[in-house]
Amino acid sequence: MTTTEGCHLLIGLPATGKTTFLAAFWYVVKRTSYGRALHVDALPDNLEYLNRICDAWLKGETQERTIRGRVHRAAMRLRNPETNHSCEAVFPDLSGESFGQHWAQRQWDTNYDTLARTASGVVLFIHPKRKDDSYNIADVARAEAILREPSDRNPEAAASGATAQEPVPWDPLKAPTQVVLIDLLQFLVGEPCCHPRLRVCVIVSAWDLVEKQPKMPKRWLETEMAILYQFLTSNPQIIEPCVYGVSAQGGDLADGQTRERLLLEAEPVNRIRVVDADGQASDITEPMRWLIA
Amino acid sequence: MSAGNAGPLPQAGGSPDAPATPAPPTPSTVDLPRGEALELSEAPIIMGATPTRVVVLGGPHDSGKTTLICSIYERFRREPFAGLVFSGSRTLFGFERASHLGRCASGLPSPETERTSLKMSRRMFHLRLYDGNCSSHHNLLLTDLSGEEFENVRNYTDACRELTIIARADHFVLLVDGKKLQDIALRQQARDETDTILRRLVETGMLGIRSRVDILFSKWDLIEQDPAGSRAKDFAATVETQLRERFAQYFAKMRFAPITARRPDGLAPPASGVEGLLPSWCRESRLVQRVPKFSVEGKSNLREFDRFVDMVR
Repeated sequence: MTTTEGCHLLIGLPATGKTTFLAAFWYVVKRTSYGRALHVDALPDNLEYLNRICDAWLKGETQERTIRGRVHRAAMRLRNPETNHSCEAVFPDLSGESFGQHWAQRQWDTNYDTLARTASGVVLFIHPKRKDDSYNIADVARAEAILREPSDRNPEAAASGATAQEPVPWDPLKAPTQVVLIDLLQFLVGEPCCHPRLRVCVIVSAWDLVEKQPKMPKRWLETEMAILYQFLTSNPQIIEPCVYGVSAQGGDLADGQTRERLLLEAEPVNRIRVVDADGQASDITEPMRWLIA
Repeated sequence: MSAGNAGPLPQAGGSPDAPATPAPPTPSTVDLPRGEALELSEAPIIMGATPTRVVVLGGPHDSGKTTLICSIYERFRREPFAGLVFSGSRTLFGFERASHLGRCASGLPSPETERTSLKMSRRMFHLRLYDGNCSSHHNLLLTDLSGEEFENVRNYTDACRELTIIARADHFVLLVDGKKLQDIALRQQARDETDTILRRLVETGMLGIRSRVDILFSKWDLIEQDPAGSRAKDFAATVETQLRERFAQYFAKMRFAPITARRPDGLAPPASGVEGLLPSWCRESRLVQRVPKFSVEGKSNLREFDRFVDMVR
């Protein structure tokens, strides 16, 4: 049996499913009856945070927003039943707002710096509804022309009341999601961390929303987040990427019928849906199994 | 790393003799790369590490220099471009800031670009691109000169001599405003200022036998959409012929191309027309050159330049 240690950063902007993923993942690994799935050797000494988020997940409740600036450190000893490889894994859960601030303020605190410098892998979370929220005026004009619903002003212009002489000042927090994520990864493979090589597992969360479209996770990333996909796949010397589609809660909990259907599942693990890059069904520990391999 | 620990502060309203209550600890912070467009002095950070090509864009005010830089970035934001794949950038923050007035978040009814002030002139935008054809990465630094600086170069020899960045550039790109070519009252002036600036750069030695020069007719979509656009196209062809005859022999390479960096109605992808140029901007260096052909004809007006060429030879 071999044992390794690893800190795996969970990176994502607000409401991208980091905590929900961690809750569902914890539920699965603390049980031992799921075939190839990773499991924990023994329960960690401090389970307060993991129990809290797991309880919310089991009750079908939306996870509380992680407080900005606070790092929840989820540590567990994971075992791969196929290889008998054991890993002391740490998953720091940081609020999405904090990652936005790293981009916008161009600094992070020393606690996170220590985690970032010792990271051995990254799980990058993307919510399909936040794929790219920064549209070009020209693209909107083209869309309007196609829909034959021309308007004199773009929607944000109408909402803000701005005129041609008074543009709304630039707000870095409104930068495109994929651009922010690229820079967050560049902080790891470039300055200040300078990791020589990093595994990056992209989780497209709320995959149930995407499944209605005939796209596989890899293809979805390539078309919907083109510049991030280019960045991930064109740096094989420093970045080893993979992508999964994950629905950790199984559906929209705000929808009463969906929530009831999910809660009626005899086994909560059946709520979870995971597909690999090419759309093959998998389990929620597969991304981590790849990351710690 | 910047230490942000606050020292002990006197308690407001407390006795001056009372011991000071320490302020709650503020976590120290670590500075991250600025991400802004680079100053000239910062360029060696990139150029020292890996082979880098420098592309300098010049042209009069509102000819579309910054828009062209932003449009190349925008094109990569939607897809791989010209056989190249986006592999990173040290200036993502700067690209985003410069692109703001073209985004809906600006609240503007039609896309604009922030004017490059004299202070912002010569800032450098970085792209790291993967080239599948040669299975390697390229570093590209794109820098634009402000319209004001361009005008100074046109007017004053001394201002031109300060532009050593052009002499060091791997590619010099000169934009000719396509909108002016449409206007019979402006087109001759547009041609003349292009001619004058090239001559000035040649005479001062800022452009020479190692230079690769691209003359781009910008805003070509306006000409394409104009019912009388053929007149502007004919004029552009004349400008090309004349500039080629006068200057091509003095450069390692001289090309002409019509481009549409950003069409306001979105009916053309960003950086249209640049696909034929970008790969050579990445691959070709001023240090790798062909032997220029010198002819006696046309040199009579370029005596200072002739002396420069002779000196180099």
